[in-house]
Amino acid sequence: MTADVETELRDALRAEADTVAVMADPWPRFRRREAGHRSVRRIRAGAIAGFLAAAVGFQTNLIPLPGWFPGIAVASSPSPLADGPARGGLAADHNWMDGLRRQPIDLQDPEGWWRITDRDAIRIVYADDIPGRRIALVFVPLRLGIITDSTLVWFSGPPGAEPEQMQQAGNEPADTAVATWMQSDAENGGAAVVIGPAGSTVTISGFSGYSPKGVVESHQLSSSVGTGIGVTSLPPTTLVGGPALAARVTSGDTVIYEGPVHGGWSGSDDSQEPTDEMLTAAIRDTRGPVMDRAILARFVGHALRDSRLSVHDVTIRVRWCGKINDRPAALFTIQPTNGGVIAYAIHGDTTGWRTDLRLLLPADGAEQRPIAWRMRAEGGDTRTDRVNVVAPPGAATIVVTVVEGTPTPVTLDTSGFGTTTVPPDKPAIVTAHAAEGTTLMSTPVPAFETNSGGLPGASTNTRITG
Amino acid sequence: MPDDDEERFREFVLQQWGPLTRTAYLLTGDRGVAEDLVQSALEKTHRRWGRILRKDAPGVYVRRVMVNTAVSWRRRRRTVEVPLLDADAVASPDDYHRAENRHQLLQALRRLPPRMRAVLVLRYFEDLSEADIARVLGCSTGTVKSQASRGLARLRADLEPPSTIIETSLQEDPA
Repeated sequence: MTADVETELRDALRAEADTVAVMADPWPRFRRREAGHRSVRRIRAGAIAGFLAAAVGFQTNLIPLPGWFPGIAVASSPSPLADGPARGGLAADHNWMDGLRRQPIDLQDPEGWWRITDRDAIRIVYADDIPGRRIALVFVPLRLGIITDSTLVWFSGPPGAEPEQMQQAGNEPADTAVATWMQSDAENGGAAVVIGPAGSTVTISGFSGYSPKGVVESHQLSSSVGTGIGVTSLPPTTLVGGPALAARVTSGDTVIYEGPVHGGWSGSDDSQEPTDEMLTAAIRDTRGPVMDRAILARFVGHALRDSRLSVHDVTIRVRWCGKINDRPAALFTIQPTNGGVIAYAIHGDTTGWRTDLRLLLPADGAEQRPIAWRMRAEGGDTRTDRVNVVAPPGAATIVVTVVEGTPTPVTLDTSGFGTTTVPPDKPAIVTAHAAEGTTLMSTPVPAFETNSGGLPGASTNTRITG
Repeated sequence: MPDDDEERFREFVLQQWGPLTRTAYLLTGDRGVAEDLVQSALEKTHRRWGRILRKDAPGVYVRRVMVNTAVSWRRRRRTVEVPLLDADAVASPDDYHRAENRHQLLQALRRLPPRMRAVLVLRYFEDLSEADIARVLGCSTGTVKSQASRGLARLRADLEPPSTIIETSLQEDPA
């Protein structure tokens, strides 16, 4: 080994890093945790103003406070998941449960140490053996100086693990309505757990593909009625980014949660950026000045990861290139073999870009559709009334019709691109006409996405079918 | 964050989360800590996003925050017992020994001082240049070179039979 420790080290680091599961879409969880930290910072700032110098020592937990000392509770402390008795197959094993209560440890973040001041107040939400491992969700009350808060901590261990073998496997805000956990790898598969409030119904499904009719296809993996717990094993998968799972949690007619199952996946991190040959084929019929190949490759690679498609199994068509807000922009489609067509509009460059449109279309006639997308303000999230339009080949005129309004013609440039205005909250449709006036095709102008997590086509704002 | 581009930051998070988590894990040896570390570094980056976009490379900035935080955080988990290397073990090319060697190498890496470990992870996992590592760590390229050299020497020393350890230590790691 010592003959070339550098090579050995490089190989070892890469092999070790490949064992780390990462979330395919970390944004929703990042935002939730960030919002929680911001709340704590705001409260702490107000509290410190009152307690002055003494509070500084308490607040960073340099001077520990006793557990009975009254604290300022952060609003997110109550947990809808911790109501009621512990759930899962290990709930009756009191010795094991008592042992697990001793496992949570103080948590550190840049603000200081979050101390567990009352271990008797730790509650086990769920503990059970699931395929391949033992898993538990634990409600942990915490204190940072004079601020009290709580969090939900996942613990996992090998099948039949003793409490001290259980290791922390992520945490979630205590006020979350649904906690999800997933761990899977490309070679061995894994498992997923979804915990909703006691008494709720939990269904877990897995992504199968994009149907030619323009809908996201999924298959049900598990469903449980009235337990508030969903568990499924996961077979090995070659899907880009690992298993794409969705959960639906309901209570009666109320939908508590409908969205992705977050968790970790480990596998090869192959680039999905298209090769130069692929791009050459993709831009064969592009209208407008074709952009820098590196930027286009980055845009397409991002879209493929976003849609969980492999660059080797899709047809890419760049319909239009140009500039939006003075930055390179493209409208392109990707179509998996025998599947639906996903349109992406993106502008930016290789260092940063914005996805303006994700829209799943039926395969039939997709190339003949006019496509329009709404724009947010550059540099912010404000919704504007600006709508960009790209005409299909053979279209002579384009009109945009706002619901209950009259058709408004859109002036097109030589690349078939134009802009118009539509009130941000009004549904609209874009229609292409041939020179002799016949209608070629119409496409709804999709509403703004409210949550860009999840697959394109999974929400009504990102598909036109159903 | 008055006029900053939230969407660009979201894309940044999507692009960087995986690589940062893997680097954080190599720095800390703990998956849970790694995720907390990445969350913390990205939150700090978010707070200064506008300024970072104008004055700094976001990828360098977030790594600087993450590495500095990793170095300063106290260990809060029990360390894994590291079995002593059998000095008489014969290096074998089979898979078992390769895996064992790799395990020993990673354990040796985790025994290094945090900044020295960070230099090696950034150099041999992230493939950063010495200049970029210096920017991340806020030090000179000369310091990076010497830290890398000493780090590699310690790894060699940890993995050599005892007689060689003494020799290597005397030659390359006088501190």
